[in-house]
Amino acid sequence: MITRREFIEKSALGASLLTLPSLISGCLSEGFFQNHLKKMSREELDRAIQRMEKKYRRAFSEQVEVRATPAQEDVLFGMALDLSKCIGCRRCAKSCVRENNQSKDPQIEWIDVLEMKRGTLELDRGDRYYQHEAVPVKGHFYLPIQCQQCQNPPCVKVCPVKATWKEPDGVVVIDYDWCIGCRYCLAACPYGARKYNWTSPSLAANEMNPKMHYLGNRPRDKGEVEKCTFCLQRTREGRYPACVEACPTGARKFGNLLDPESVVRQILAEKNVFVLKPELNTQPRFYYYFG
Amino acid sequence: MAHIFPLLLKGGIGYYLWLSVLGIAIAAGTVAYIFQVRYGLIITGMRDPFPWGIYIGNFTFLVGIAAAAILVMIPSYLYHYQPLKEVCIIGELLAASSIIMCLLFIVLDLGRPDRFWHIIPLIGQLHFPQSMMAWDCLVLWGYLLLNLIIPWYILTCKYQGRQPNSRILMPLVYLSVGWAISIHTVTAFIYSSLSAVPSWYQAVMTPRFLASAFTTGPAILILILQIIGRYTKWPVEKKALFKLSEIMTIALFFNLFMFGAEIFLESYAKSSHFVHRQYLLFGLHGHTACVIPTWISIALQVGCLTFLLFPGFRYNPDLLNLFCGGIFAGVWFDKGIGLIAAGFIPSSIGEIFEYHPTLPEIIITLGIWAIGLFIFTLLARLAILIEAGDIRGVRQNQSEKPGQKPDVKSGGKSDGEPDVQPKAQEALRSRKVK
Amino acid sequence: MVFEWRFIRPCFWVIAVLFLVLFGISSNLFAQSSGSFIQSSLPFQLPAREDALEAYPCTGCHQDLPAQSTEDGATSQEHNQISVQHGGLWCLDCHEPEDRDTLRAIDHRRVGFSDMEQLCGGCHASEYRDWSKGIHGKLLGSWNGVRLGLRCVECHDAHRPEPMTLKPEPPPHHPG
Repeated sequence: MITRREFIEKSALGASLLTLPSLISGCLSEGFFQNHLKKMSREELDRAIQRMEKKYRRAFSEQVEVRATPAQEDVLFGMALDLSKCIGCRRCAKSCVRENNQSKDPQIEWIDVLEMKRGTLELDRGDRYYQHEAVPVKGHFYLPIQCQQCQNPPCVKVCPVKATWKEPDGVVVIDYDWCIGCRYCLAACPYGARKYNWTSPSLAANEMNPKMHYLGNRPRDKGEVEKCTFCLQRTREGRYPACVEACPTGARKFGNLLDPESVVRQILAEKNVFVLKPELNTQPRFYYYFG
Repeated sequence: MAHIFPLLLKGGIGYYLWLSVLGIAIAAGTVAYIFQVRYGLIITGMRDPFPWGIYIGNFTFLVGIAAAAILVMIPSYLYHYQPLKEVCIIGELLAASSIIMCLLFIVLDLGRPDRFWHIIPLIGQLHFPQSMMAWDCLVLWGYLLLNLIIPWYILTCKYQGRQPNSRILMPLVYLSVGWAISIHTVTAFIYSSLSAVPSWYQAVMTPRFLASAFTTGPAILILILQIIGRYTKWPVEKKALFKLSEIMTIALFFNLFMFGAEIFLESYAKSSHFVHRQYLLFGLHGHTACVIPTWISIALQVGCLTFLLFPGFRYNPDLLNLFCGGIFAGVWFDKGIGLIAAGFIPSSIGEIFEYHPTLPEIIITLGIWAIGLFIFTLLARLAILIEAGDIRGVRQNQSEKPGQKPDVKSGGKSDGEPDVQPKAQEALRSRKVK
Repeated sequence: MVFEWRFIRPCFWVIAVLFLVLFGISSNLFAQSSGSFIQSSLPFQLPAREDALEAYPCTGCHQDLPAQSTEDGATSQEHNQISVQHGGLWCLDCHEPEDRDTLRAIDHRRVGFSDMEQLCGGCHASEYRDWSKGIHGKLLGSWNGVRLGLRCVECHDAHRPEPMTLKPEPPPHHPG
């Protein structure tokens, strides 16, 4: 974040010209020519991952490990959230930040929790910035919103460079290194789920989660779009997403939609679930219900 | 050809002043842009709930200006309306300059301009045909090429003192007419295809985009032609201005008509989608930054239309400038900022974030306009010199390919001082397409 | 005498069976002592409830103490930190007076502490039904492996059930 004063201080022509060599050297580095993830050969991917690990280890910690675990077979992830249990404590949002290495300043949070008056589901009436001594507040309910992992994702359709796509396990992912930062997907997302790095993100080494995934929580850079990935780095290895583990009331449920025994399937069978903005036919795999 | 460039920079004190003002603006914009690359788009007023700002707003507006070139081409080439045919080339050069500005606005709106190559077909990964942005990139480049090739061909012929071959020219003209509609249609589709944004997700959006383009295009063209007519040797016929004024009036009427239809639809039903218009027209929850500019914009457009309906005003060359300026400002706000503000306020999850462009953002924007105007000035200067016959090459054999660079009669001479044709007017008249 | 395989075969089987039995017992003992999760018919695993209780078995004290027969007994010396505010219930509605190591379901069935959800389910039938499918209550562990569940009382205070309130984490920064 730069202040106006800082901007003026630094706005000498010389200072700006100093950035030119770094720009040129950046352009000539190997990372510049890094291919689209899906177009890479096995060797290219290994090299790219090594390059990333080297970069992140230098910047953060030696423990960094980047994986590119592919989707499991016959798995389609889904999440269900019981709105009558959510108390709006924002534990999910904060645990998400810790797990997924979001920027602290400027702040990026993938989960928005809206405080809604009882009796309406219109997002316009929600308040993201509520502050109370204790939640829930009488007469209100809380609506956490994050990437809805749509079956028919409008963000994927609009991307001019195929930097974002839907994986076989249903997770909409972004190749951060391929994104050109046009923010068309931000405009296209009906759920405000996509977040943009308006400047270089700040992430302290001691707050960083070193277990990373290529398409998941590895640190992003300035000018790249990011969003919830259902914690790929965890869920592809059988674990629950961080928000599910952090929820103190057990309002969030996660599982494989192709497995009839999974809890999410049980919820779909038992409860009257709904999705946000169904009229847009985005077909989210994020289900809400009042349990 | 090298001797032409010094000639382009030659002119009166006003011309120098104009070019140096543009040069300063370009320099300032460049510095500001380097800052943007250094710190990221955080130096702009855009944020997550409002991810597009004046860069994309100006892009939209300028695509309209570029598309409006066909309003000169259709009457001149398809209906052989001579007064407009005389100035057709200016419209085409305006289109080319606008497209250059559009492309620059797109590039500087990118968070990662270093990855621009990802969007280049075959080298990168163009998401064609799904992404409207990908379509837009393709059609813009195509239109830019068309609008460079056509004037270049005409001017080359002129330079060589021969008439353009209509077998080559006319297909290009037809293609260009269709292409012009396509660039603005596709640009409108960028917005109107987003079902997430109710105020954009409207079928009337696309025709309204065209109508507003056909309003602002002639408006800016009239202003330019007035300047050319006054300060250069090129005789711009009043009839050309008046024809453009008629087109502008009709387009403005349709623009406002469709605007009214939009407002009616949403305000009568008072559906939840009306909040976006409500924000523009009346403000929302105490956020009123757009209310006054919106009403000024509407007042300018309605006011100008009211006056233009009367022939006395429509065919008055001096008052016309006033109306053109008013229309330009009105539509610029409506289509540039108002459109985007109505889309993003409230945001898709109901947040109200009022976007205010920052100083560096404005400097960069002005810098792009300066680049566009600079390019246009030089191109127009070149066209005027050639059209007036001030510079000419040797008349070549008809068998020669039109694309080939002509030798200059005075090519071998030092400094390349061109032949000045005494019979400039006559030369101008001789340009006709069979 | 020639070594023949058939002589050793009965010995082998005896040793093998003995080994398995011993291993089974020891591992079972080990599992009990470390309080690990026990398998159930539910789609998730639950820890043995008794392990979490401080003064279990209750008969440690109640062997000699008679069951209180009046509601005043609820605030006896030993249990004075408990004040029951759960509908109109009092201690012996749920604690079995005849066998203090068990609970008493609504149909007067005796229920062990590790099956206490059956007691709660007597009244909270729909919650119990959801819970037994994994819908109600938090699940930990792994979505495709062992799911670890929680019993009612691990989230809800049986004596004084109250909706959970928390101080929320700070709100997000305003953009800009």
